Amino acid sequence: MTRSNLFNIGCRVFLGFFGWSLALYSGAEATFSAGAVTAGTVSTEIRQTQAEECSSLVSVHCGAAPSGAFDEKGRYWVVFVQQEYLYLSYSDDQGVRFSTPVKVNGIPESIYTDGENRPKLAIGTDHEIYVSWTKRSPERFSGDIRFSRSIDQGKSFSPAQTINDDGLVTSHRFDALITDLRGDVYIAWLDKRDRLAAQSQNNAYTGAALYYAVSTDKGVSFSPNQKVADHSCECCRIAISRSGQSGAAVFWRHIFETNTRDHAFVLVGPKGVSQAPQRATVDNWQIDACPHHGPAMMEVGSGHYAMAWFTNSPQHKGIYFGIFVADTGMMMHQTSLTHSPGASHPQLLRPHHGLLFAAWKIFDGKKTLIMLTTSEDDGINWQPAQVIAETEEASDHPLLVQKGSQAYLSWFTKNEGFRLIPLSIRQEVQNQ
Amino acid sequence: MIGKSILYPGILTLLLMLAVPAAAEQQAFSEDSIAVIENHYKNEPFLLVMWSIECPPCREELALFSQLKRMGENFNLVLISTDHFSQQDTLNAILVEFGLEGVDSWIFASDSIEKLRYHIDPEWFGEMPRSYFYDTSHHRIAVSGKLTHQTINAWLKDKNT
Repeated sequence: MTRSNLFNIGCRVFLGFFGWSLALYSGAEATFSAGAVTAGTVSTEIRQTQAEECSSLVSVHCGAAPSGAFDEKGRYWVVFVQQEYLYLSYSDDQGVRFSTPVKVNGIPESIYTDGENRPKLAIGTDHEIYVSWTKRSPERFSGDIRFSRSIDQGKSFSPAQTINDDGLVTSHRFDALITDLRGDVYIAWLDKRDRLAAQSQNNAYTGAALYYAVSTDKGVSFSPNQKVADHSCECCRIAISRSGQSGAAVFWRHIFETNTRDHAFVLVGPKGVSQAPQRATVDNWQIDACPHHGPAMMEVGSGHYAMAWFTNSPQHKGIYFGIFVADTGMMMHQTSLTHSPGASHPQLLRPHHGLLFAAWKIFDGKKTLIMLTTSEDDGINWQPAQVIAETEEASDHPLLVQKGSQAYLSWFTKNEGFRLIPLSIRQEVQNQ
Repeated sequence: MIGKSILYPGILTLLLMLAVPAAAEQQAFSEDSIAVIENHYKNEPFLLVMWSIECPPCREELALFSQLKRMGENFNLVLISTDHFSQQDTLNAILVEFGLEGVDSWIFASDSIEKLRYHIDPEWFGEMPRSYFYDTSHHRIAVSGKLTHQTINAWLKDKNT
């Protein structure tokens, strides 16, 4: 990095923090500058001040597990959790300034905010804002899948509704949310109602089950819960994507045979499962444990799905990529993206035809790094991975989002706050 | 605030746990703590186990340790929770529930999870439970996934011969 760049970052830190303070103390500002937390070289003094400000400030930089998406006009919408509330905020300048947050849930509730189990946001065909999250119940390993929507551009939200319809106190967790091109809203999650039933009969039941519900009236109501498969892994996020014009594809870590924790794939539609579950990855990772490593997926063509996943079997170790063909059940172009120990939580994005980004997180002994690799031929060949962001303290999972054909890394870190970092094929490191 | 253990890890064998009062406390696990633990059990075998509140197989493993304790098995057990230190009360309740309140128990003192994991083992990617069987020379064998009675028995037999 040049001296000039360092100077610019220093100015951003100072001016950004000044702007933030102005907004805080003016009391009338609707937005504030996030510049203080967009650069990587925030001083200790400023970090301490941030911590103090965050005790009384609701902000995407102060909350937990921010997750968002750009709408078609280029506005970035983000939800985050702070003090038992889910908040919505937006930015019209790619994450430099954010609007005053709006509460989603009117009544406070405990919300899961770990990287694998975090709130989700999706934007509907008529500019609806849909939000799902998992409410933590007092009983261990239990929770409910919650949903709310805004039909007035995020000014207000409908009362939160519980999507799981069994009325049981058990685990309904790890929600995944998506809207299809018709405007239908799909929510999938991991559910232990069948495990509970089996145990009440003194029968063994491995893992959890995959369930889903769909709304065909833009989130006003949802279908009865539908079971997709028994014996999913219990503690890994679910990957969900669009599937053509209508329906959703779901990709999740599943327990095959006794304890083989590879991945399964299914297509679901408004009337039920449209293509039966099938095994998608064959790594033969046998482990009786919680991997805490869910996969990533996105549709890349008719019936073709780009997938990235973590495994640690004797044959395959690290993060893998492949293109799954739903009709044939074949995985094409499967390749290892990294064998590095500690590489975790991959994300995929296809900002335009032919171009794929894959990002993941790794700790190098001193810093947590976000690595990025690109493919310009839809996943056949990949460039060497490079560092695109780093932090020296705690950090969230990386997310990839897109504004038109421009891709961004969305990353929340303790030191730097929330950042949207634009990605390019030949990436420059953002914060060294 | 992380509470400091009032117990000396040296007396924390499963057998002696029977004699200690029912009050679970965790020590704060920082980047230097693995060296502190290894030094404390110098020339002694011990079993190091990483677990988490949100990990169902970990509970089953705690039940196994509880069973071994009732059976009078005597070995050094060290538990490290990767949960946020604000969840210490929940952790305490779980350990008391399983009768493991006297175990040498630690909780991650920082939310830099990756950094603390790295200091335990750069090869460990975060799956739980994750265990390390240390012999007297402190050569260790890593095991991912829930331990079985047979695995622990084999180690106990080996360390006693």
